[in-house]
Amino acid sequence: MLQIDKEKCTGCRLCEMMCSFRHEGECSTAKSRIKILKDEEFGNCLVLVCMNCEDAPCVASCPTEAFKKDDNSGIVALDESLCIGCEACIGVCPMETIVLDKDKNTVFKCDLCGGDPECVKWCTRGAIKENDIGWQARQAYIEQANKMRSPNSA
Amino acid sequence: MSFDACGYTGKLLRVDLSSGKISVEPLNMAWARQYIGCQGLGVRYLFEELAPGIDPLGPESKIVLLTGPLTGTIAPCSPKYTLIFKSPLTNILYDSTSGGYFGAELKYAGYDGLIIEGKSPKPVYLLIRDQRVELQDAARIWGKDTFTATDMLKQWWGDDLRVTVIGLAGENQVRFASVLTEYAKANGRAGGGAVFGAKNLKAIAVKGSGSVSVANPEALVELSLKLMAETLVENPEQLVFTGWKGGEGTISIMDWANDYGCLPTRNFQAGSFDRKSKIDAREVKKITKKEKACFSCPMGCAHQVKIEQGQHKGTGVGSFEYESIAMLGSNCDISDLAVVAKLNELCNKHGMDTITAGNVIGWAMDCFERGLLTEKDTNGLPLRFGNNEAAIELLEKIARREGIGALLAEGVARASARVGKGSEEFAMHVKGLEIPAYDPRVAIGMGLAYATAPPGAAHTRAFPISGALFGGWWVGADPVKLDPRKPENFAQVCIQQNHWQAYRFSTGHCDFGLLEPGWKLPELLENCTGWPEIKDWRKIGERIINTYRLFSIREGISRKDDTLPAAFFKKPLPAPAEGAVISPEDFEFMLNEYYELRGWDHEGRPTQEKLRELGIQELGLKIGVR
Repeated sequence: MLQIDKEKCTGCRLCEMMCSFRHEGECSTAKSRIKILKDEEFGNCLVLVCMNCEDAPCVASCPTEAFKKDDNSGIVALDESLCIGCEACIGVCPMETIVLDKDKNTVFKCDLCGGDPECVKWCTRGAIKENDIGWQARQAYIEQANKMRSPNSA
Repeated sequence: MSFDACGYTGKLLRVDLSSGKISVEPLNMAWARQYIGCQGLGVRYLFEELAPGIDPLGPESKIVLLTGPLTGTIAPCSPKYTLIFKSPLTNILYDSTSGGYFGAELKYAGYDGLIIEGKSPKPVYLLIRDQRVELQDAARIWGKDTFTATDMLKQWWGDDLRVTVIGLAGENQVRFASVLTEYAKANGRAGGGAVFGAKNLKAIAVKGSGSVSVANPEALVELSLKLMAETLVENPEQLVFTGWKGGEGTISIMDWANDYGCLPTRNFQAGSFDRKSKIDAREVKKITKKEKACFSCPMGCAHQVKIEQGQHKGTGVGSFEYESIAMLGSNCDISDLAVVAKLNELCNKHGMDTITAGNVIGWAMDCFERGLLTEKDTNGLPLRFGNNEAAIELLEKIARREGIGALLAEGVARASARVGKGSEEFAMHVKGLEIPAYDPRVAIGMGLAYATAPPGAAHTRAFPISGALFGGWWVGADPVKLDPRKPENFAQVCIQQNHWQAYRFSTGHCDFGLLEPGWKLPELLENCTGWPEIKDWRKIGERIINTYRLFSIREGISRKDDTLPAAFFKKPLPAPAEGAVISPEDFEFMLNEYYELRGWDHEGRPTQEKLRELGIQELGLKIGVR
């Protein structure tokens, strides 16, 4: 699982590009499974990526059981072949990191690159690390991210 | 993909503001192979499309905005896009580069660049969302400063919209108005913002959801990772001028500039500043809040600063750089860092080039102290060196073209021609473009670099001052020895650096990129485009420089213009570089050698033989080169 230290992120978005490059073979930000939000005026950055929720709402929301949570690793996996593009998962994801691929009409999400995440490799600043910090800490990050995104927070 | 080249989208947007017609056309790939993108390609387009002698601020002028093949790809440190236009300061071309996110976003929207022509009957902005391209009424953002206009556009069209916008200075056609992107980065120099304003174009905003392909993905990934490791992990100490590992940023330059005596002080009257320690890297660090990155670059060069106390509390600058601090600081004898930040913020807010702004204010203060401008001219403003409040008020007046501001909005060349009385001698410009923050008397080859830089006094076309002060430069296998005060060898170093810089500034890669030590940029380009011949940086660079020159010759530029302000020839510097001056003989020697090595005649005209060698003889024929 990924551990995020958003203070270290400078917003270069190499991770987004490598994510898309690895999964789609193209340099793009729209097809990335990880998203960097940056407030250009103040320089604050936010790294949005699947936090593998303990009680993952995407799993519960999916009518075709395309999402499965592995009991041992806790990782939420997506079987794209089962996806019918209904977008139910997109609405319930607390990190808003599930995206619809309009060409394929299926959603995509972080799959940790099968165990060797590109974003970690390319994050020279060390803002993204591979580390299981436990659900409580991950949940705290989700809350922090949502607070930062809500319009009333500074 | 129906398109034959990787790294490019192959499409160009053409926008005719007069008629409102927007069309998509194929990028000229034959030219792309010869000139790559950004600077080089833009120069070629405008050589073909601009009639000689047109008014840069008239409806027949054009704005070319181009990315490079590396822009928006995984090649690290390659966020750049370039604005190419006929400059209202110089009447020749300028290519002004900016980082940030705009370039990559434009490519993801599906375009390598755009050409904007004509003049809109009313203020508009160009909104690009993939295939959907529209001219929108700008009535609500016209008259707004760059920060506010950017905020409003993002509010209307989404936070992830990338915006490049002019402020009051551009609207009022201040000849050194800039175009600001994302609150901090700018196409800063030579008045691109004025050309926007003259065309009634307030902003360009883009959102893209597409992608860019590369020719050899595996090789590009491997090379990129290797270069990042070599530069960032193994040699971090050479990146002190960036934001990497606590790097001080470009302000670190101020230390050596002051020690060697090339820090512009009081309109270049001196080369070191007695209160330098109040505006240097240590002081900037105290107010730095965050290092900000451009797209695809881990360096994080931009030092975002905020003033948290005192009269200027709340002042913020998104990217606080050496050039700006030196020109607005020591060059105006201003040593209050909060005031320097305020001046920089005003330049960003109203959209003005910080280098020219500092140069212009310095010249005006110089005139005032010598009695060539009086309180009658300045409407009571005591424009003495070091007058913080006067400098702030002056910038506001320039942006609005009010009172004395109308004169100074013209730049030092035009302003000094109007004031006369010898003020031309210390109007510090080449070809109408104001000199940036390195005094060339300390290393006279830097004078050659300014005099021969294709667009006028720019520091980014050759930078022999560092080779001269820090132990030589590599043109071939062996280092060339450079004595800072002797004319020998500077010509060949300038030429080589001209070619490398023209090449680099045509790719999308940053001037502060990873690669110079290993000269690996050509390899990155080959893996991106799949074109082996694109690695020949010497030839491509030389072709760009010569095309640039042909454009200038067509506008009447010749040997007489490849010169420096009289002060550099006549006024020796005080300590620490005591007595440093450029003798006219040494300058002639360097210039002769420069022309000769270039294969140019005595007047600085490329010979037909040289142009044939570069495969552009038809351009020479067009302007009558034999």
